[in-house]
Amino acid sequence: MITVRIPPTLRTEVDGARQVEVSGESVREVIDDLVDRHPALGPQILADGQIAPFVNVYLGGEDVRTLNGLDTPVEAGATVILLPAMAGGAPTPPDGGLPIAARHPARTGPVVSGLLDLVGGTPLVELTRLAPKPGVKLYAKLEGQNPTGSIKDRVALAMIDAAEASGELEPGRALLEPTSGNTGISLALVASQRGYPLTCVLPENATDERKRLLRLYGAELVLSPAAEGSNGAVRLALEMAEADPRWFMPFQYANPANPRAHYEGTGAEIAAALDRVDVVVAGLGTGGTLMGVGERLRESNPDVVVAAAEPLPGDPVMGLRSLEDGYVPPILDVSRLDRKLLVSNEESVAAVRALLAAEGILAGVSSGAVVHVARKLAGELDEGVVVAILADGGWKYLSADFWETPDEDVGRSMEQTVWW
Amino acid sequence: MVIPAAVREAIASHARDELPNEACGLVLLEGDRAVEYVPAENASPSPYYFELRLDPERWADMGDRDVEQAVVHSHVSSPPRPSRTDVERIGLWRNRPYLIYSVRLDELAAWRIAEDGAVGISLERDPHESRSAG
Repeated sequence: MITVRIPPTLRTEVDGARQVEVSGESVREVIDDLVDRHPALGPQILADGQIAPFVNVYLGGEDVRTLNGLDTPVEAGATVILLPAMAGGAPTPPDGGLPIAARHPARTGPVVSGLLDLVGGTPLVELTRLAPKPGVKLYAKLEGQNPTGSIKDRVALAMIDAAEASGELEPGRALLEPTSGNTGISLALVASQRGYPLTCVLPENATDERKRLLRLYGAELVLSPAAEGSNGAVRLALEMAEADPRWFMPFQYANPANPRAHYEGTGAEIAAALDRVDVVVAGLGTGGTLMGVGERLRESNPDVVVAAAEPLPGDPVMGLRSLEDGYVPPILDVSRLDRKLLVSNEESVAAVRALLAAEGILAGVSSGAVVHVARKLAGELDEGVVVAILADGGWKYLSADFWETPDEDVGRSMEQTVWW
Repeated sequence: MVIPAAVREAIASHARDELPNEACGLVLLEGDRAVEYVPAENASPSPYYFELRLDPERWADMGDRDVEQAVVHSHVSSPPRPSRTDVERIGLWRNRPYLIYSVRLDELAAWRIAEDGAVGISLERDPHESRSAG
């Protein structure tokens, strides 16, 4: 026998019964038997020989329309559920859509007394399409929304503030910093607003956009050998500072204001915005982001996994720092990293392309590495919240050809340029 | 029909959460008093349409309890009156309790709808609460 459960809306047709026992080997035979026993049901549940539009018929929790319709087989002892198919909706306006203002209510942005007041406070965007499984929420913190387009605005501002507060930095001194781009651009903005000249030391193979931007923001450039990558820029800047005491070098690799900017800013913002964070992923550059954000998030959840996206050893093009390449920044305490995942250029580029294609986010290459790792770790969870910190936007990388390069050629196309 | 403030707020809160789309669900009634709001999934999410989806076994179990059910859905910006779509799609719910909540106006209204029109059901203040249900 088959049990058919009857909804209250159809019980007057079956003398008030909550369920009816019938026989049949398909949904059609079951309904035919049901209608034979209770003819008043016929016009309610059948129309033109099919299931009527206002009725849903379920077997094993599935709407039989999504199975094989009336021809769906029914096993002896099964239960068939009849329910109303309820639908409706508000009047559709003649233009077919709500006013834009109703769909996207205006949000009041901040009114500030200068651009530096807009450093930080970046948005978290849920990556619904890139999240690998339904129970795990994946969020991206868009540091590209800072005034010069990268997370380094936080670091530059914090370092200059700290140096001014301690008296180390006074009017008339000149700033010197080894940087292949973002930190230099951020320092150039802060320096110009505070009235200090800035000289940046950067590898000669940094992108043309980086060099032009630095000059446009008012920085002087000193180029270090391409073959030595970011480490070569650090070496040369340290030599220059030692030789001439007029330089003040914030030196983000050893400046405690760097991780503190992320403890008080980036990390505090994430902790305030999300009730729960199980994993946070950032790129391994100076280590400032991972140290500061990790320390702040551990205060809320001691079990949070702080994960670094690290380039493969000997792979200078990522811009991220391989610890195997010989320089461990003084602010980086490797023991405070819970996970360290190696990412190839190919994986980073695939992820940065996926980020743009799936979520509409144009991010920098290091963000591809971070998203690659974040998705990998999210896949290891059954449920939870993963935050990926995307250090910058993709605008500064438009001259690169990896955006359209066939996958197999990505590695070769990235060999000549430093991306961080 | 009496809608206690907690049930009304559950309806309103769900409707706000689903913006910019319509929300839908069921209200369970003991006599003429609403006792519970059961949020459902809008299987066709849209600012102008809802298609109520609930786990079929759960919905069937509710039908076996001694409670009456009212279908509820939200109108994002228009008044809480049955639209042409609501009337055309009333189906098996004809002449049964039917609630509409307007998010923009923060108004809740109850109806019995048939193919030839709709009749309002007055919503009354819960005598045990100071705030109006409507």
